[in-house]
Amino acid sequence: MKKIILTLSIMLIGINFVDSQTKPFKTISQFNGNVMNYLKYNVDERADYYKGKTVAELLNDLDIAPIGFQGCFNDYGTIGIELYYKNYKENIYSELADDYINIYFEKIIPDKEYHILRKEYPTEKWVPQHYDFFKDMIIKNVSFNYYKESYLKAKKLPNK
Amino acid sequence: MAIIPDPDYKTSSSNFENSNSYLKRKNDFSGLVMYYSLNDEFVNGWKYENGTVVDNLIKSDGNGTSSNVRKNSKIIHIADIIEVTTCYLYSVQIVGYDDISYHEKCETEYYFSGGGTSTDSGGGGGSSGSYDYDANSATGGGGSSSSGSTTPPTIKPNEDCDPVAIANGDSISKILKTYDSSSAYYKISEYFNQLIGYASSSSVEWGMVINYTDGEFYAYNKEGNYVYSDQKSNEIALGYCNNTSILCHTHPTGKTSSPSPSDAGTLVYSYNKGATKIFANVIIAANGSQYVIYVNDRTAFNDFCNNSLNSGFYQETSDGRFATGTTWSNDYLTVYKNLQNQGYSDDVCNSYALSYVLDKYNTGMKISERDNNNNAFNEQNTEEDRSKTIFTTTTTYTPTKCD
Repeated sequence: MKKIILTLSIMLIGINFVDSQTKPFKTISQFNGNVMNYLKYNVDERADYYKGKTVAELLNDLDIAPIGFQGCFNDYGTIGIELYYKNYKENIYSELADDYINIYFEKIIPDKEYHILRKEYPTEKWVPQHYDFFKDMIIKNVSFNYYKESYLKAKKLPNK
Repeated sequence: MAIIPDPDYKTSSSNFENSNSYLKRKNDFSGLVMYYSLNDEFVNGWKYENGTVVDNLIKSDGNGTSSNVRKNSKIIHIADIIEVTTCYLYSVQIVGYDDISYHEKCETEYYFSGGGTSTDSGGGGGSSGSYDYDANSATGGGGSSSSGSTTPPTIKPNEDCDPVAIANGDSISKILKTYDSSSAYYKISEYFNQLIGYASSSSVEWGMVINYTDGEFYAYNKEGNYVYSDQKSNEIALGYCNNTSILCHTHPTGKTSSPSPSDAGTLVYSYNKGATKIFANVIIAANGSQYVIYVNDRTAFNDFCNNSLNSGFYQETSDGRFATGTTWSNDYLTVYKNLQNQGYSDDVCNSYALSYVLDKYNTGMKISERDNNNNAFNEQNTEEDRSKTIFTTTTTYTPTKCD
């Protein structure tokens, strides 16, 4: 009996481990075009898969294009970006309601480099130069918008 | 150091030179004790009567300094102006010649009795026991006098308060207190109260960031955390972004309560990084006091940040002060020392010196303070008073606070 319980336990742990490691990527069409559900699944739930990989590997997996981003900083430089894919209200950025992912880098980007990028290519509109700038950064952490679900719930707004 | 006895004391005490030294004065000593740096520049001086300090000395702008061996001095006391004539003995020897010629040169300097506010027992070295800026100035002997056990002077009430500053203080207070709904993304008040708890109980700095977007204030989530620490006692690398409006962090027990220059620099730095809506930096001290540096004049602040000449404003030293040698640093230290010499605490000297710099350079930023979570933030100002005499200009700084 003990042997059966032990075997079952090992199997359950193994299934969970395999599940988090190999959760398959799903296309936007599998979510009927719902960007929030798409990003939550592919990025939030599969975050461990992307940790240690490059930004290029993550972005190349996603089959929708970003629309813009905003930088995340501390007193030493740029520590990450919020990469926006869809505004809740058309053409209005909202950190609370929009569909975006937080990407934190292993290495802080020096101020000067980021400053030049921001001045030449405003962050409100994602361009190939932004991709080139961030593509080799190693991902420390990645997640979907922390606020959106509770914000929509509090405001009684639909998930669209 | 020079010990210059009053003529009467010199007559009555033939052995005065052995009885009075750098750290010790005979309890009946009357005269002047003057401290000089290693470069022979006057640092400070005290007037004694019967072993007690009755006045401090302020040097006039009159004559230059000298660099020879001090031989002797005599005093002529004219009302509150003290004339000190110092004579120097020097020798001249020309290479190739055996003869040595000896010369004497005398210089006269003027000092003013400084108002007699000090009750210190005098003595060499030492500051008020707070941040020792004299350690950075390499002035050698002397040092500033402290009031020791005397009560620090009070802050002068300011009756002419800026209504914009009052409104800004009230806005910050409201944001910190009222945004506390059941929604997870708000909770500013809850997190802020956590910081108040950490300020008094933790030995390291903690912080949080408040963002603003689409008409809402909310706590910023940095990698899954709303309140966090780098586990360092004197710094925290807060995370912020373009939407960031307010930064908050603690100053733990044993650290200066009031904001450091780097706390003002952070606002300029974050603006230049893209956080163009940055509004305030709140400091929660272990003693319960809360300070806020805030943007009171948006146009002036933006202009200050956009001026490349001001890029050094946030390149502070490791102890959070302005970079050494900058005009901001020089002014900050001048006001700090002036307030310190008046007997103000380190917290007062620090925040009012910073307040002075913020106003002088038209940064658009102000500092306000409150002593607990329920009170309003009160604006701080530092008044500058220059009094001119025939010999010198004396500047006094007075801290004022709105009620």
